[in-house]
Order: sequence, then structure tokens, then C-alpha cells
Amino acid sequence: MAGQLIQVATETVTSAVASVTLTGIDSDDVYMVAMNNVVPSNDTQLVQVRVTESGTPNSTSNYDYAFKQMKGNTTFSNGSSTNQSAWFIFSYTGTGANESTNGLMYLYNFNNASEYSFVTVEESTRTNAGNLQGNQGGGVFTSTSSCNGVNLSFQTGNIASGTFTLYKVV
Amino acid sequence: MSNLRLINETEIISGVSSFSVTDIFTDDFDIYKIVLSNVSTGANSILQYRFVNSAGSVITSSSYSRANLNLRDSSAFAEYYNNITNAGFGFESVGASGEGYSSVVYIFNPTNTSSYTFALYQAMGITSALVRGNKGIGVLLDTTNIKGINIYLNTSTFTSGFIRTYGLRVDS
Repeated sequence: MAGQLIQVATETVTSAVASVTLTGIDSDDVYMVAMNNVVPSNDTQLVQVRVTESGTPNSTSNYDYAFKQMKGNTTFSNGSSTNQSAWFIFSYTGTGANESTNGLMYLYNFNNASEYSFVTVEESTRTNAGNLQGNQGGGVFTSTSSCNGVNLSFQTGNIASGTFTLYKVV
Repeated sequence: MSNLRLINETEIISGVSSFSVTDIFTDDFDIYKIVLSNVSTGANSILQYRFVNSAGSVITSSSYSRANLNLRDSSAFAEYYNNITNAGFGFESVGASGEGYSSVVYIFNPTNTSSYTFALYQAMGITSALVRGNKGIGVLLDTTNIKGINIYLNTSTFTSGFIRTYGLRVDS
């Protein structure tokens, strides 16, 4: 039945780690990453996302992205950039009470070495300022490599907690 | 076996302006996918979402924050947001029979009493031949144990609709 999810990898962080790597992409199917209750060790951090090639994060300047940033407390804004070292497509969150990031990413063409790798994002975050904020958009990794997963981390400091799961969409 | 587990399938009762699905959130899942389909109303209306607590009561206090981008086929897109509101989240246009509304809503951490309950969604509705899509987010600013979801209309009543709830299973 179309639209089913098959778990490929998962990691629940309960003591701080520098990053989480989810691998196992080995087909041209669409994959989905689900994240919930993700909290940084340091305040005012956003989740950065990199593709992995044979399990190794690629930090070259090949990440482009664009998104609409919805905010509960003020008018919305746009975010975009090119040639970055990662996808910075999530909102800033922090270490204050109940601050966390929750969201979904869909991964396209990761396994295909003849195509760029694409991602879409939708997230709902309580920011480091204690406001609701969420991005909806996407990004592209402008290299025709075969990618077998994603690496997720904060720009500075560790991931204090959170659950990250990679599913295949079949 | 799929990790997307169907938990509940409910047909919306015709003639009511508020409808809840209860006892769908448990500690078995942290993330839920709720699909509303074939939703229509007696007259054009605004649909919004609220949460239901463990006592079965709809949370109507001013403890929600929300934001959504209203995508329109006939005019500029519109932004709606409230930092604090008792209206819940979502601000969705629903049309009468023959038009209607559908959405996919994801709920995060509803039964985790150490975390707020978050939501994000995508929706499409049409009212009087005007297309109204929505991308939105919401949060309940409370760590209450949430057991269900409520949809309600500001005017009119439901004439049809289905609510299907799935859990995203994580096998450790």
C-alpha cells in the first residue's frame, strides 16, 4: 500500500552527543526523517543537516536552500542561501523550558549518483526566545554523489536530547 | 510491517459544529499523523483544531500559539498568527458540500508531560470556488497529557468527513 513507512534507522539521544547520523538509504525510494523533542546543549542553536556519503558527512559548500518562516508572534519571513556547508533549514531553539524542535524532512534522489539530492522540510519549533516558529521549504545538495543518509547536529555544542528516525516511504 | 500504524478511523457526525476523536494518543507513539478527508459543511466556515485532555475535555483556554500561511488562487497569500489564543491552531476555509477540505496534520509529543504538544500541517480547501491552501504550525503551551483532537467550525455544521489517525512507530 502506497504511503507506508519502513523504519531504516533511529537514534534516541538521552545523554549529549555531538551529532546523529542516520544511514541505510540504498534505493531510489523517497525517505523521510522524523524528529521530535530535539533540544541543544547550548542556547540559541539550530539543527544543521548534511548528507552522508558512505556514512561520512559531506561538509563541502554545496548546500542551497529556501524556506518560508512562519512565526506565532510576528509577521513571517523568508530564508534562503546558496553554497553553504550544510542545510540550515530549521529554526533556532534553545535550552529554556519546553524549547525544542519537531519536524519532518523528505529526502529525494539521495541514492542516485546521477542526480542532485533534494530535501523538503516542515517543522514546528519553540524558539530560544520562547515563541512558536516553523519553516516550510527545502534544499538541494548540488553534487551528483550517492548519499546513504543524513547527519544532524547543532552549529555549536551537542544535542542534549531528541529522537531521530529515518523511514523509507513505500 | 509498516511503521505507520492506523490507530483510529472515524466518520464525522453530520449536523455538529464541533467533533472530537478521543483516546487516540498513547505512550506507544511520539508522533502522529492525522488525515482529514472529504470534509464539508452546510455553509462556508472556518475550521480550527484544539486538543482534548485526558479527562476528555476540549482545551479551550488561552494556551495555544499558532501561525499559518494561507495560499490563495485569486489574491495575495495571507499570514495568520496568534502568540496566545484560545482558538487552537489552524484557520481553515471549508466549503459546503461539493467543495470541502482535506488536510494532513502531524502531532508531536502529545502524551509527554515534560514537553509541549506541537503540530504542523498542510491543508487544502475550497469555498465558493476560491482555493484556500494552508501550511501551518501550532503548539499547546501546556504540558498536559493530550489524548485526542477536536475540530470545530466558527459557523455552520459538518455534513461529511473522515478522520484517520496513524502513529509513527519507532522500533528501538
